[in-house]
Amino acid sequence: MRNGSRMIPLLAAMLSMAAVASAQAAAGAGEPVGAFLQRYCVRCHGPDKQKAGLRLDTLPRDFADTHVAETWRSVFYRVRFDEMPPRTTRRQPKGDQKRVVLEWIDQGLQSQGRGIHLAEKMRLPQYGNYVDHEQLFSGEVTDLPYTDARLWRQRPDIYAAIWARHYGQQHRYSVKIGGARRRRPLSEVQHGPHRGKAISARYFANERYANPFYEYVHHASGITDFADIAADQSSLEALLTNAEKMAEIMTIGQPVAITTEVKTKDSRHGNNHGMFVGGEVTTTTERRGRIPRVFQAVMKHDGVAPRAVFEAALDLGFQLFLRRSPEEVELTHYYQDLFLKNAELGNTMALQAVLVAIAISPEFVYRMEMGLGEEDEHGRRMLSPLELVFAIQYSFADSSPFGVDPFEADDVFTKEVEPLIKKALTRDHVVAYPRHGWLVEQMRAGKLQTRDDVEVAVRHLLAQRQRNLTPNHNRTIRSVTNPRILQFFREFFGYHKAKDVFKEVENFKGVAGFQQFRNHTATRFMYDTDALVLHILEQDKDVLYELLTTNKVFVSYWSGKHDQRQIKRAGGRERYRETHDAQSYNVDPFEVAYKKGQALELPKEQRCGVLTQPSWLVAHSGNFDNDPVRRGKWIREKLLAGYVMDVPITVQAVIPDSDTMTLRERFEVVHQDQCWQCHKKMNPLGMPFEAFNHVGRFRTLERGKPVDTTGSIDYVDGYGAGEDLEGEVADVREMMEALGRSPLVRQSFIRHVFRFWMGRNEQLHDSKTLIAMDAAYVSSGGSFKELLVALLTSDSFLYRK
Amino acid sequence: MLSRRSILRGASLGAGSIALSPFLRHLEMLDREPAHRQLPKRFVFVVKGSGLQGDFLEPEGLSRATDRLIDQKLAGKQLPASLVPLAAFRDRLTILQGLSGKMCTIGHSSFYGALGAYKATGQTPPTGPTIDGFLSEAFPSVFNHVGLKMGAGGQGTAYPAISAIGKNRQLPFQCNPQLAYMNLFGSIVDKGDIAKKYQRSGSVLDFMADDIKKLRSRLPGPEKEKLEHYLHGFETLKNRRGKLVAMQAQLKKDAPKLSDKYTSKVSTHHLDAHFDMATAALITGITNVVTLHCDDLQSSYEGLGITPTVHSIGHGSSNGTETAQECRNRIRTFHVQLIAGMAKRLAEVPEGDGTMLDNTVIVYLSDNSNLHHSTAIEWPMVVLGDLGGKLKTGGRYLAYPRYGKQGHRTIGNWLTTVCHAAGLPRDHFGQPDLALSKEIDQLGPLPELLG
Repeated sequence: MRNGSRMIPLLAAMLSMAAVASAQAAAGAGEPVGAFLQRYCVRCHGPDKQKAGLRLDTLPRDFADTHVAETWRSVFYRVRFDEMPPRTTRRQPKGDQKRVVLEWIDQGLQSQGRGIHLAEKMRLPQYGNYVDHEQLFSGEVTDLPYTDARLWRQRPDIYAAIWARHYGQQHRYSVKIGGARRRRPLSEVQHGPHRGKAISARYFANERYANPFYEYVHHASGITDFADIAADQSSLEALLTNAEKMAEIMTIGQPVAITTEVKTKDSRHGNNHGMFVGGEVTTTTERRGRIPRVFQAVMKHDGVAPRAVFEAALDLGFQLFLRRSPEEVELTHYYQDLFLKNAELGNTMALQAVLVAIAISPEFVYRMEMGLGEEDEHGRRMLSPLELVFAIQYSFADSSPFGVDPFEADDVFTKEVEPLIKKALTRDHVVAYPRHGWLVEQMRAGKLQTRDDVEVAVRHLLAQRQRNLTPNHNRTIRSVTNPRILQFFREFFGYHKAKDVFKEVENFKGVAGFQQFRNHTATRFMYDTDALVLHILEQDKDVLYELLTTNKVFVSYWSGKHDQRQIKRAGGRERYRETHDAQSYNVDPFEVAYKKGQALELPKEQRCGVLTQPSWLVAHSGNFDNDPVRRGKWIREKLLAGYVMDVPITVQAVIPDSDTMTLRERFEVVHQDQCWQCHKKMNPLGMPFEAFNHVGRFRTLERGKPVDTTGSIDYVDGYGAGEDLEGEVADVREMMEALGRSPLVRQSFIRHVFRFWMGRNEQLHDSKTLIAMDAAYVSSGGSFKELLVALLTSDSFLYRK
Repeated sequence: MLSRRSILRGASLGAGSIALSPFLRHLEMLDREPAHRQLPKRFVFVVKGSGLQGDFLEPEGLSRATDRLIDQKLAGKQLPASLVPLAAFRDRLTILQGLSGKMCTIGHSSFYGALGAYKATGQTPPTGPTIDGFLSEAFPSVFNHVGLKMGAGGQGTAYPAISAIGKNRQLPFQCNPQLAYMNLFGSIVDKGDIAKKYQRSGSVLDFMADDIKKLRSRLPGPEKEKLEHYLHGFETLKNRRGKLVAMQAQLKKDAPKLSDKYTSKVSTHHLDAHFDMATAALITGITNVVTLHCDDLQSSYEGLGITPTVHSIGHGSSNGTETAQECRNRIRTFHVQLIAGMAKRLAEVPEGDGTMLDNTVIVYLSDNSNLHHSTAIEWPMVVLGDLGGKLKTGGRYLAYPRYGKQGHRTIGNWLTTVCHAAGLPRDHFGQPDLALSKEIDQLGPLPELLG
């Protein structure tokens, strides 16, 4: 009965009408909800027993009554999250039975504006796991996968790649005359009253603009780019501000504030170019840039520019921002309804209006994935070659697949001034437009039509050499080959958020186990893990298992050598040793041989995969302590495809402060019944990480007592989650080895891969895609590349409906 | 005494409350104070670069940076020279000294830190709201926030990285007085460049809104909704233009007259124009929250005869006739004159039983605490107005004990105080200073200042 999922909304709608009709009626046995209550609930919540003071057989259906509605809401969550009926009872409802009842309750609540809106929620990344895992991987779903035709809001990174350098910079130029002399070409004033004096200059072009699509992250999902996010008013306001500026830059040039400072007797020494501050300052604004000839033709035309002249300008405007030529109907539309309407303001302003409009158009704001290709016999349409270019490119990178064809342009700045200034304002600091990428060439050669073509393209991109295996703050993720792949691992594990967790760095000085953690250490941790992930991806073998169990680590900011100056700066050899980056991994820098870019292998009981990387541990810690809850929750959601109920508002859990108790002891309070309902799903998974202090250093003692690293894996649901996964574990390694080998964990990982690259949650009709991904991964011996190929050539990726 | 642990907890709870719809919060607030339901609250932040020096804000005979709280009346005391322009408002003035802000970036600027009490840089997006951004959402109007800045030459919109609505959402500042005028009062101009640009933006909005409507009709359900959100943005902006048109009479009456100040090449004239516009925007009610960013390190006060840049003066350059300190004093006095001008105008407009100034608070501070190169151990401020009696700012000199001493407070406490006075109580605004000892109470408002 796999079509069931699609029938439910209709069924539920009918049910809810029935519910309203019999609003005051008590539960009867004739309808599905009544039958459900009778069968699974009433024994404990009925006429004989009212556990927790709750009786369900007489609970009215009046959702307008606050108390009643809240009771139903509570029932909803208990059933939804498998809290009720208790696991210990033999009689358990089936997935379909539960869903009918849940939909009925939700509809009833919605009718009074109190809805849980499950269907809408399930479009959000943090609710992705709500889709039944067992069904997804059962192989029983025979539906053909597809994705709904959709708009996908521009990713902030993609907008930045198109916008920041070209239109988002503030330019400033500082010129100093009469300062220190330097032996350099053009370092003397050539003419005018200051002739012969030294001249020096610095040019500043800082990115200063607001990204209209600021990052969206839900803490539970970590995913930053999801198709379901909409552009709104604040996006529009920022887009408009940016577009007005761009239109100005493209038509009259980029303003540059030039400060000229001439040294006087009152000037003082300053440690910057020219070596003085406080001269006589004059400030002017000049414009620089290269204005396209086709724009000039419009602007300089006597009288209203005719359509023939306008066409070339619009074509370039479209190329710059939409990376395509306008169609005939668009030419007419833009000319008549926008350009001519503004013609009375002059050609320049009218042209600016057109450029602004393009840069706020929905096509610029949203990627359109309509499925403009062939329709198959099932009513699914394949993405067109053009749509595929974007879909594939943005799966791997943030830059646009299309460049801009070269166009003729003239310099705005034509003044005869000092050669140094002229050079800076014309030849230097020019931002070049990128060329078309490889995918565009493929499309133009007609090689992006079929599924096989897509596979060739995807394999080609995956086969590129990795240019940057050890990212750092100078060579960031932007210079990594296929940065989206690394970004996935960042967002999946969340280790890149280590730097967002505040630590009392000031108080760590001289404290054993903490003194190696300094101001930028958390950021360095992120790069350490980046290197580890890239290293494992290079091997491309048992990727997930390796990620969860490897004992290798990287120390990104250590060359492996010991610089005498650094030792001196640290305050001597001992201080240097104690505060060295390697200490975060319990490594004495003088005791090991390390070479940058090569992994360091550590004792297996100390380090076990990404979850024991200091980056992950810190990212999932508190300000003063470890956070077993967040860590357990992460494992529950990311590795076990599970979920934890939203925290009930009535519970205010407070972990007591103590200078003598271990964290595990302090956490005993949550073992109380009402807390434990949720915490039992998290804490036992998070406790083994007590083997590390809260800045990620391995330890065997906590407050003088031996660390208890035991935990357990329980309450696992899902396909193949067998008896071999559940049970007590002695430490992190035992837990991670079990998880690393588990099919459920593998499939949970695959679901997250799907979400990240598809920009949506998996649905039941994606079952075939997920199973194919799983099979590709298993049969290739755990190749992440093969997993991606399977996804990017799947019907879910290629077809729209 | 609350520990740092509880502060952090408080801070994170506070962050959660931001998720509450501003509208709901607004309603909630109105419910709470039925007596003042009719009177709007207005907030003005005047931010200068290069530090606001506490030494020059001490009235005769009063000091700061001691081990105890100094709370004295200003009445009968000689105001420090640069505050003399505010003499007429002496009984509505508080000179606030001794708060620290070491949770912020120190150096040349604290960026979002000054108004947000958190660590920030100019290169990376903000990590949370600043007080002006926060209030702008809570006290919405035609323009939720107006940001104006004295910039160099023909600069237009700038992002000085001092104000934010929330994480990753920085607020823009308009440097060009003409563009600012177009944006705020363009609807009443009937000729010239301003009128043209205003007309142009209107036609672009109409054109694109029509396109979106057409596209929408061809889309499936959920996607239609997505476009609906975007279209709603257009409707809101068009609506704003509509509202401005509907307010023509009011705008024409109170909008500043376009003058040479707006087209001048002298940047100090721009700042003068910005204060005029900000005042008019408050009087006409098109906004309730204004931030004026007076200068940055590259600015020069040529119009005052001070040619070196603010940065150079900070490093001790003179302008040829005056020492660097004399230049700094004159710049500060200039700002205070502008503030006094604004206060005077607001005090002339009747509102309720009093005037508009009664329901306003103006805060003057630096984005870099007290010095050109700051350490943020003290962050002097001048506060004018009591926000309808919600703040006890009537003629006081308030100097908190030195950094780390018993009774010391931070700018986080101050920003929390503003929230409380605005009717939006919360435990803490911004981040705590983790280096401060546990004895220092970083949670909650400054009781001395809360009315």
